[in-house]
Amino acid sequence: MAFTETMTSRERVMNALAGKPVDRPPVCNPTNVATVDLMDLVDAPFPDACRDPELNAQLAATGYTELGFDAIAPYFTIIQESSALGCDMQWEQKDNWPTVRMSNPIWKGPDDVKVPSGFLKHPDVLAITRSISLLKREFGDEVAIIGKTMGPWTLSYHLFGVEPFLLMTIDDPDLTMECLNRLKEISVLFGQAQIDAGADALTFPDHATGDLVSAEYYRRFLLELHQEMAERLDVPLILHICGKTLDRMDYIAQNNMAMFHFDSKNDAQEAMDIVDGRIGLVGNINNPETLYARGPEEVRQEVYRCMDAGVNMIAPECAVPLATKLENLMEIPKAVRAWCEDHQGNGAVGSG
Amino acid sequence: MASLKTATRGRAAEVLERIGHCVELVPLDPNFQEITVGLYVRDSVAIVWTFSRKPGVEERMRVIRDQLVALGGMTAVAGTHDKVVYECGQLHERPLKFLMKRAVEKPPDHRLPEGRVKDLRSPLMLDIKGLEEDGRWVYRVDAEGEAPNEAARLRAVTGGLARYGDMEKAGDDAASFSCGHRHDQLAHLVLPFARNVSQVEDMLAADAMRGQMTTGTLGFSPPT
Repeated sequence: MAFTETMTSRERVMNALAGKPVDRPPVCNPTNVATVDLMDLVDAPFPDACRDPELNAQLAATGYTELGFDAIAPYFTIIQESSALGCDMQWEQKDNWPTVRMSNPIWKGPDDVKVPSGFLKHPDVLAITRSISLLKREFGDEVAIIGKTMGPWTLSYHLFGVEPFLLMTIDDPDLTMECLNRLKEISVLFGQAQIDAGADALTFPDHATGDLVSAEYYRRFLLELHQEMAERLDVPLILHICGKTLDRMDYIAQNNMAMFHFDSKNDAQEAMDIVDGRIGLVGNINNPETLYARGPEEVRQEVYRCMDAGVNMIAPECAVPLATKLENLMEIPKAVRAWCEDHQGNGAVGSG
Repeated sequence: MASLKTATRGRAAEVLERIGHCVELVPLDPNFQEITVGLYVRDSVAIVWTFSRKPGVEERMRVIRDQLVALGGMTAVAGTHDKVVYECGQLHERPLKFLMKRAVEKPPDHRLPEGRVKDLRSPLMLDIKGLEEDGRWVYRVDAEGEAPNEAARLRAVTGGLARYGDMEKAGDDAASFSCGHRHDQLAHLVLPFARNVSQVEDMLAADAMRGQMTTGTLGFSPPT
């Protein structure tokens, strides 16, 4: 029997973020689904599509209009704020991510943390806020618009440099907290600007990854800060941390955010068991091996594994590789519907 | 600005329904406005395709298609500007990836070098010679010069042909395509890759990492 959808994409995403019932789990990448093919389709290539609001909106919209995802996420990268703050940037070409040259940091300590007066008017900030306005005006309540504001831990990597910042966490934890507390105001400022522009939810990347720091670091430096973000930013927040995070998921589950966007290095069922309903989970579909290098059949298997585990929103684990084949991305919503058809009537479909 | 809702809606799905699955995607065409070009396959017919609609893309697809013919010995489908087949009816997808990348990234007048290629692990000069054996066209690796490890090198290069050419070994120094047919240009295209598997693997890994966002590529952890 064919599976019938009863919600709009936006209703589905917002209900899932609120822990309410859904007709099916939403397909919603909190980071990015833009690819080089989609850039060609709407003539909005990187890096221009990261810096021009209209190109940004054109490219972002394809996540919904072409791929069939339930959300649009126009902040493709992780560098917009850092560029606006004056970091040394490498904008790259169409087929690669713009990056911050972290070997050339611009700040050394908390006293350097000053937000330029024209921060919200900087072109790389406006690219996102104006894009969100355009998308909201065009799509209204049809599809969820997911903004993104970088957390203070990730901003620290960009602004202080990875190594100097990590050494600071060892040498002077109090100074580190002072830096994080000052930087969090940038997260709030940019996040609120996106909410004002029409964002329905915000992704909050803060890369305290298991590849670099211990779980105890998350508890000590970030848990309370993230709880504060969840209180101050009045939309559902989706924490994003790449890499291994199972050892800190119990802490993450206490941060009062709506969801956690997690990496395929973490077993989906184990993650669900740890968070135990205290926070939703989204992501886990492998990028480099499955979405980039394999085919639709393997993608479907990964979607099914996430659905079987009860992952709340179905998505790639992180920003998809820019050369991902469209057929693999289109398979994700197809697989979600197919799984729902297979499981109708057994109570698995429609839970919140 | 065109409507975000309706500018292209559903176009990608319609196109893929028509052109099939993607065998190889070349993200950046250095010879034509940095468009992305893919090689798609439906019913054993390969189609050169781009989602770009820049003026001149049809002619560019024709040029790339013609390079698949010139460099890989494929046959153009009559009356088309973008379709090719192998007469054997198979598509040999693994070597086709190397062929497609070369057809897009090299200049339109690029041709495979003639003559022997230098082995990268010995002083030997390598070539492959085809001959019919028991109804199959078999390519034998031929070495010129002297090297103490000649037999091992021929074995390794044959292994490389099997790996990157999707060929079947027919002895320590010989291999044939799975279809058993003659594909001289494709075999010669694969030979330079076959002589140094570890270097080619590094190249493929580097290609694959470009455009990936991971803690490693972001600089937040050592690359994995």
